[in-house]
Amino acid sequence: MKSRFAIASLSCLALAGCMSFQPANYQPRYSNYSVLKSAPRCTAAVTEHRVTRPGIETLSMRGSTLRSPVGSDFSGFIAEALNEEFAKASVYAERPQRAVTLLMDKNQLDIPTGTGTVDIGIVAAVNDAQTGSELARIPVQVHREWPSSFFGGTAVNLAIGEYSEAVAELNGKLLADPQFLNALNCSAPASAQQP
Amino acid sequence: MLSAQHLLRGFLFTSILTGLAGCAPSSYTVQQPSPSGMLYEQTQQATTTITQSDNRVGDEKTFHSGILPATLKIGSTAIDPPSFLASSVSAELASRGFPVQVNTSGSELPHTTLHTFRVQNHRASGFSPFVTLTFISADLDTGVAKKRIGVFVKRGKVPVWSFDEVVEPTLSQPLSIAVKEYSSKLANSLYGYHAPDSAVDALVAKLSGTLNENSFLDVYALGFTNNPKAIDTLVKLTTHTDEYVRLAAISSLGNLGATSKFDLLKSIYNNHDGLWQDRAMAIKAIGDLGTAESNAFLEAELKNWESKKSDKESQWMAEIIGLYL
Repeated sequence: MKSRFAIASLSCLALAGCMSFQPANYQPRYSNYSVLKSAPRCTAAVTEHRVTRPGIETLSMRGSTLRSPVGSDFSGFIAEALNEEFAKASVYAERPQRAVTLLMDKNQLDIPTGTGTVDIGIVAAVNDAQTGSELARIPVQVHREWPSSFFGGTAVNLAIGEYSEAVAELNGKLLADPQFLNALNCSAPASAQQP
Repeated sequence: MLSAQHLLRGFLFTSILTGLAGCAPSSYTVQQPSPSGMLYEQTQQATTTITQSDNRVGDEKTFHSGILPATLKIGSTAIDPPSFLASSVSAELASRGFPVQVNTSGSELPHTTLHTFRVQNHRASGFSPFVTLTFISADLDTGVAKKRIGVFVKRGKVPVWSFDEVVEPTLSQPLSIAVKEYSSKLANSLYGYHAPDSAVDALVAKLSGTLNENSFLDVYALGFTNNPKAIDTLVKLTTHTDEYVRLAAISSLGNLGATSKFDLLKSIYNNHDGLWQDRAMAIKAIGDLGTAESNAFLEAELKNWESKKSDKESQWMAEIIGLYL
């Protein structure tokens, strides 16, 4: 009996070690994009994204891996999520008036048996797409905690859900930032848009 | 304690299920929607062109997704959603005596901006129906005002012998319904076009006899008349025992903009003993009403569903409401 249990456990561990996961499709949040709809805005899009530190492209989850479904690292996932928020607010354009560059400098996920944590940090630079001048540079960070699980499968599923929540929270913070909103205001005087 | 025999049975059962799942093909050939031919009474001269731009981003660009993703084709060509919608809507409106060309280039008014056009599938197990949810969301800009147009169609079918059985009811039919609903809303929003009372009477007479498995299409057609004379019949059908007749009736109250039925739609939506799909179709119809009161209701409900976000139904409800907000 003990040997069967051991074989089953080892098989499960081996299987878990082979697995690679992706976050679920991003759903824009009304509480995020409704802020953009509250006033006329310039068209905007994330046109460039990258990680600024090595080693944060993928995330490890008890031997399994969480990969970005977009591009080669998670800055692509966040960029696409933000573009989806722009689209829901009807400000997204492929050739936008405001080009946003996302620089990801923190991407950490820990799922011990106790408390799971995720930390994501980005810097969003908003540029006038026509002149190339930088209008705003906004650092945003999020930290989330949740009760994790002893069981690997449960812990991994919880972590994947929490990561998507963290991205939504990150976007919410950025979209609510007065400096960011001001940079997306085409009717604001140029002097008011300097970082 | 599990015996070796139990494990063997479990292995065989899993293998059979996996084998069955493997039967789902990687592509489906769907039918081009057949134009309805429902003639509208024209009260004013229509423009000849509507321009359409594609504003779909990220996951919205995946036309057919879900638990069994597959490419949708017309003939041997994969569907390009904006072109498919433009050509199908042009054909539908032409058949209604409204010869308008929908162009996928240009920005002249009237202009539509497509945010969503996709089909999402789901199947809980090998014994449950293959379900599709078809979504459209677009902004219509007339130059005077912008109006959001939303479309949601739900269909399901249990494949018994092969997956070919699901193509017509869960892919071709909902795409056809979605195109007709979208076309009706365009014609109504732009020109207030509607079918004559005689067209409503003919459909009501048809629905007063014995209903068959395709009667729900006639119920949808009542909504596509844009004629408020159909409302009373639709209200009666919202309690019909046939799921798809009921869903078509609830949806059509929204298509007709039956603002006087807001309380009825709220009661269907708030009936937690009812089926999820009835409630989902009720919130879609509330979205169609487009009044300040209905929009406030949608906003409150969207915040509610977004805060839950734990299960599929919460996610789908948020997606339906998101078509309008």
